[in-house]
Amino acid sequence: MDTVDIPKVLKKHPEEWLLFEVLERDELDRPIQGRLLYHGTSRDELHEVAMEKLCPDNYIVFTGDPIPPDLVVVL
Amino acid sequence: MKASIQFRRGHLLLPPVRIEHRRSSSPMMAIDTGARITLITPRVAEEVGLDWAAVGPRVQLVGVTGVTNAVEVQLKRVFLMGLGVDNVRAICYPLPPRLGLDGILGLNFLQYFNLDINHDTETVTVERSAHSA
Repeated sequence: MDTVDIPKVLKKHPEEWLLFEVLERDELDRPIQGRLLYHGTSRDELHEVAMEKLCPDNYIVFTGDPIPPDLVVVL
Repeated sequence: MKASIQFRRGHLLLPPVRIEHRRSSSPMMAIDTGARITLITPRVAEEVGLDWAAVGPRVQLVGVTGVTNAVEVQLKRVFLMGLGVDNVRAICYPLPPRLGLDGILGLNFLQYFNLDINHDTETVTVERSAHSA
């Protein structure tokens, strides 16, 4: 599986959940290089892949707005 | 040491976060200065190798919509923008699936940092607080 530039891959997959195996982080601990293991709309499917791979260092990210515009959320 | 990231005004603050337990994972977690304790979902607990169902006392979780029971866990280390805190208490509880969030960073974790949220520059700056010494 190819190593990818994580910020570039994020731009290619709007409104999706992505799972990476992290190979390199920057000085702020942001993942910058890794392997793309999953992309899609289901956090449940992502979780299944994560539990199957059991990578030592994962990055899980949603590229859309975490709160849909029709929801009012009080954390 | 200070660290800064950009955010979008009016949107959630989603800094780089990493949880180290049996495995390491960087999930989607929002800064919430109104929450007394940190929260992770059961999925995140499993992803970092925490057997959440077998550990921790049951605690009452009180929110604006009511009261429910949750599990209390302890995470070996949590990093905020590369700055780590050991033995972080957290509540393990599912968040609504429609949210693109895996957890929230509450005051029990944020107390170890001084946070400067600058809405003019859309920048969050973090440095360790004296409390973390």
